[in-house]
Amino acid sequence: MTTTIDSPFHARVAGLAEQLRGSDDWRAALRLRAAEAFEKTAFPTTKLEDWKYTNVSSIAKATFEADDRAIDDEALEPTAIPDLDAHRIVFVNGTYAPELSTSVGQAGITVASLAGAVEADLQSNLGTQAPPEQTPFVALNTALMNDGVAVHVAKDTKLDKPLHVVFVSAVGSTGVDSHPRALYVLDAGANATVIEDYVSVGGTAPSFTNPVSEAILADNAFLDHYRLLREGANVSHVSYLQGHLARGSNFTTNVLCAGGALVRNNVEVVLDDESCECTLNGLTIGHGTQHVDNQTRIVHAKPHCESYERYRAILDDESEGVFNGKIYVAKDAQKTDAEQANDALLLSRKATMNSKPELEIYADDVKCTHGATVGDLDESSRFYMRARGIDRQEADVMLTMAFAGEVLEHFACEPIRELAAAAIRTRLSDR
Amino acid sequence: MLEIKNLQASVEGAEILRGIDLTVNPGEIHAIMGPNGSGKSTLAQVLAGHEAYDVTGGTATFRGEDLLDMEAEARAHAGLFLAFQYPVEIAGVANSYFLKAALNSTRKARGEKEIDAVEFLKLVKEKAKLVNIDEKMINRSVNAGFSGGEKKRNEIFQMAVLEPKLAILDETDSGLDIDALQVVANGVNKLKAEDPERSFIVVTHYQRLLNYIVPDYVHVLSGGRIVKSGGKELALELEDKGYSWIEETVGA
Repeated sequence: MTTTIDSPFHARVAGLAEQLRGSDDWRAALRLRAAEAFEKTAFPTTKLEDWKYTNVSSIAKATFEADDRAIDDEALEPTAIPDLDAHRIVFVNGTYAPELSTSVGQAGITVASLAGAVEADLQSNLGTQAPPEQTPFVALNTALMNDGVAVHVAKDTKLDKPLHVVFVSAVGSTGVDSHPRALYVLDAGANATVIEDYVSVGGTAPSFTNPVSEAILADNAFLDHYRLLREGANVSHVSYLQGHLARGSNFTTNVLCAGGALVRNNVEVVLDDESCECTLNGLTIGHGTQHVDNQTRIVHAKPHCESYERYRAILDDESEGVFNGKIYVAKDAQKTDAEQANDALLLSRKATMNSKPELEIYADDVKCTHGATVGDLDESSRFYMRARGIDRQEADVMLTMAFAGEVLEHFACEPIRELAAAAIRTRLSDR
Repeated sequence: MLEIKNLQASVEGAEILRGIDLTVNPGEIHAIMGPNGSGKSTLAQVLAGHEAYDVTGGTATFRGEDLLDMEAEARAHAGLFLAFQYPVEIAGVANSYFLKAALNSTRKARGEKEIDAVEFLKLVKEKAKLVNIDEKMINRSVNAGFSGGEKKRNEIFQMAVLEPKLAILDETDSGLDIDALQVVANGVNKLKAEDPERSFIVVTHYQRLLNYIVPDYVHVLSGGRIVKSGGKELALELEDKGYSWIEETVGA
């Protein structure tokens, strides 16, 4: 990197390195490595191709304070997802809140706080998929890693209910930052649904959430993963999700972006053996001056794998959407079947979308398709509905729902589909 | 029912309707015929409230109300129905959901109770049977992937469910084979029999639909004006002599 941004984070991390050198915590070595990596690097600027549309200087320059406040169930209640029957583990400003969490008493399932006692199998996997040297954000997350969730699903075990992991930004009069970590290790034939839910409560001081998640799927494992971004308009969010798929495994990640100020999600999935399947579903509902950037990279390393990618954005007011979908097909990855679609619905003349597919294909017998559209609500459909007696507002809701439905129908978890639909209704009724 | 006086309309500055006068009484069937570009579809769209058309003069009164002052949805609520020449495909919206929303908007506007799911299903079955249409159509997305004939049948089905006072059929017969044509015509006749006060304006290019839907009046539109009106025999005469006959007679 040629251009650097002078960031208060650098001073904070430098101070931390000293502490970590003397620590006997099992994560200290990894964190120290991350601190050193972070010190050598700088936040990206818009001069970098991958960051052309997303300017993180407001995050880099801001001063945030770690905040260990506690919140109670009542404060969390407004963020509840109706009809969701799930195990719940809650983190407030990055720290495990046992009083707000339920325990998973199922044989073969481990759900642990990374700050507590963590089994050796989980310890050894942390940082293997998202190494701190990867990017400044991952380095920062790892160096400042305070707590997070570690999940292990044993061989041929199915988690009986979804695991709802709630990361709460509890904001006071000063901005807070949190660096949540999630690690999912699924043994052969294991099956789980995990919902990472990012919400905020309290004040409106500019805040920052910087989560990193790693998902490691052994042969024939199945993981349905959700990322729900429902933070307030004061919270910026930069996330990394790194997935690694072994033979015959199946990984889906569904991202619902319905909150936040500046949002940047980075997803990379490596299909590292034959017969894997990977699905990336994304729905963005943007308004105001929100900026939502979804960067995805799917690596087809081996033959006979399939990937499906569908991202849709509904953008109102002056909101901005960005999508960059990279698909890499290695020379060995014959018979790859990769589909990518990105569609945006602009509800306002001032909303913008930047969409870019990037296909890099080195195998010669593959099927890769991609398509991108940007448009507004169809006037002829609207008139047809009105001519049948449906008023303009309701027609717009129905057409917008239909647009979102093309992605939402692939979200397996019904309460989340309903949550997204409710967010769209709220959005359109506020216009 | 409907009284149109000296109606003029243009689209993007081009004048299309140049003074239409037409009165439709309750229970009457009027056929509007005319060559391509005569303004037939424009008249239908203007009456339904399409915003792409500017009404530049004249009046239209529908059941005592100023039609031209009403939003498209309010016209539907008042009992006007347009069967589209080109029904719009709306992927991702189920016919049943669409139709129930339409029906309930109309009921709400009229101060009536909204229909529940059970009553709605009963109504759908009843109306599908009345107009001889496969009720499974209700489960598909609105017109998405429908054949031309299916789209036109769906229009008739929607009309049956919405029970309008006045239905305008905009070239519903175009592109239909004889079987589909009979389904459409049969639907119209059944709906006429269901409510003898119901009126229809049948816009068509060809006479053949009028073998099955017998009009009380036939009007010939040319150059944005009604140039000739008569009984059902006028349609046959037109079929026989062609539109050039009209243009020669009226010197348009």
